[in-house]
Amino acid sequence: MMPSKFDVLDPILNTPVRLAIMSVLLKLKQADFNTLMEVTETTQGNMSHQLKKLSEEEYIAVEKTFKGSYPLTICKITPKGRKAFETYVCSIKQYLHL
Amino acid sequence: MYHKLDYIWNVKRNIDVRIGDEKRLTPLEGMDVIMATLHKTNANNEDSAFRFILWGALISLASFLYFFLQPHTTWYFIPFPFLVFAGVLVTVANERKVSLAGARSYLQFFLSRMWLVLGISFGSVVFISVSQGYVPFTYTLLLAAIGTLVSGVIIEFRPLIISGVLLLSAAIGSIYIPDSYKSLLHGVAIGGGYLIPGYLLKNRKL
Repeated sequence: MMPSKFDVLDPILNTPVRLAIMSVLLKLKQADFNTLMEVTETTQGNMSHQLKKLSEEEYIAVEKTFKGSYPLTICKITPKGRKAFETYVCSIKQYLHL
Repeated sequence: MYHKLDYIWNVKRNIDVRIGDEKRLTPLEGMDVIMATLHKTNANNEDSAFRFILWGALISLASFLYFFLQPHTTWYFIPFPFLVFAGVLVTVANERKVSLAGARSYLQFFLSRMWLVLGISFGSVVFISVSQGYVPFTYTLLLAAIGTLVSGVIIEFRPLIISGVLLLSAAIGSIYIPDSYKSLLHGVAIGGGYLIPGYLLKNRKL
C-alpha cells in the first residue's frame, strides 16, 4: 500500500474527535466527560473509546472521582500530550506553508 | 416500514460516525478542527462573579457596621473578623465545588490563585497597620483595586476595569479624609466596586 502524504502527522492526534479533545484540554486546565462530549459533539461510547486511546498514549491524564453520588471523569493534558500537540500543529503549519 | 427504514438509516449513520472518527485528517481539516474547537470552548466567569458578590457584600457590610459602631463601643472592629471568617469558609467550600465542577480554564485558575494571594495580603496589611496603630483602609482599597483591575483586564470586562480605577481613586482619596470616615468610604467603594461588576459579570453573555 502506498504511504499517505499525511502519514508523518501523529496518528493518535490526526482524527477529528481526538484532536478536538486535545484542543479543549489545551485551552482548559481540566475538563469533565460531559464538557468534552458537548464540545466535540460525539457519543458517550465514542468519547470513552477516544479518551482511552489518548490515556494509553499518556497524552492525557484521566481522574475518576465522584460528584455527590455520581461518577465524574476529569481529564487533563499531560506534558507529553502538550508536546505532541505542539509538534502536530508545527507539522500542519508546515504543510499549509503558514 | 417507516421504523425499519429509520432503524437502517440510524445504523448507517452510526457506522459513518465511527468511520469518520477514525478517518485521518488533512492538514487543513486538522487546522479547522483545532480552530473550531478552541472557538467553541468558552470558560464561564461564574466563580469570579460569585467571589466579587460574596466579598463585596461581606466587606461593605463589615465596613458600614464598623463606621456605625465606632462612636458607641470599643469593639467596633468585631464585624470584620467574623464576616471575613464566614467569607473564607464560603470561599473554600465554593473552591471545592468549582474544582469538582468539571471544566476549569487556566484563566479561572489564575484568578482564583491571584485572589488567594491578595486575600493573604489583605490579612497581612490589616495586621501590620493595626500593630502600628494605623487605619488599614487605604491599603486594603489599594489591594482591592489591584485585584479588580487585573481581573478586569485579564477577562476583558470593562465594568471591572472601571471599578478597579474607582477603587484606586478611592484609595488615593482616602488619605485626604479623617480616619473616622475611612471605613464609610471603604464600604461604599468596595460595595460599589465589587457588587455592581459582580452582578454584571454574573449576567454577562459569553
